Amino acid sequence: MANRPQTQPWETLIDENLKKVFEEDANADLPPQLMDLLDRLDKIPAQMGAPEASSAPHQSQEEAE
Amino acid sequence: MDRQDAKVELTSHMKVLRAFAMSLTRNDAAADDLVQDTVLKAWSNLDKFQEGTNMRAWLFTILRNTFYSNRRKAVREVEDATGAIIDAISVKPAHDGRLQLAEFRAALAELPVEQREVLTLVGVLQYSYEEAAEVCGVKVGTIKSRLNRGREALAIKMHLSATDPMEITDAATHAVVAASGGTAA
Repeated sequence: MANRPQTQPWETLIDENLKKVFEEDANADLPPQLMDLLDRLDKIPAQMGAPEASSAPHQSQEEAE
Repeated sequence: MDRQDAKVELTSHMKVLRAFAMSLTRNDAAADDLVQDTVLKAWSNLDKFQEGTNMRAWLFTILRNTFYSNRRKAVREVEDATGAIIDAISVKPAHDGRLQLAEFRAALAELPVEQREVLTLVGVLQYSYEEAAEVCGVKVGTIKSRLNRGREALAIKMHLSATDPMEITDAATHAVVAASGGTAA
């Protein structure tokens, strides 16, 4: 990974807690409304004119990890 | 991309996508709405996604663009009920160590969203400064600045400093710090 200097112990501790918070959220069950949305995706047509289609990013985005 | 394959991959990213939404909104309902908007936009623009590229990064970018767009439109930012409750709890002193996760969450929620975002991208998801700068549309120096300010603010809120011995009761955290060459009280 480019350009990631050594961090101090207290910074490591903060990052570790950031990870715990994130993982706690990522391990939570998806709420019913999002499960329903996934179930309904097949019925949603493509190119329905999303208001912010331009917000879809370009495809050259690098692998994030 | 085959839409069934896309749906399978999209579904596999849902939980981490929601966690990223939580890192921005610090609010369950707002995060759910943000993920829903993101999924709908991604699904309806699936033809713009190039198979073989990073769908998670693509979804993250749509999500953050949607978040900041909504934020700009908002007359004022509405603080979340969850955050308010956590804030109320956080005024109580910690009884078993400084880094109680609820207290940490409350401290995190008080940071500007731009700092939370960079802390998540770099501190949690291990993005390089350059990758974070590309995602956020800012210069690398801005990423470094936001990261440092965010960490320093958290350290202050959690009463940590570079010279302050840390109170660590969690074995995993202790191991991480020990492996990095730090000392733990």
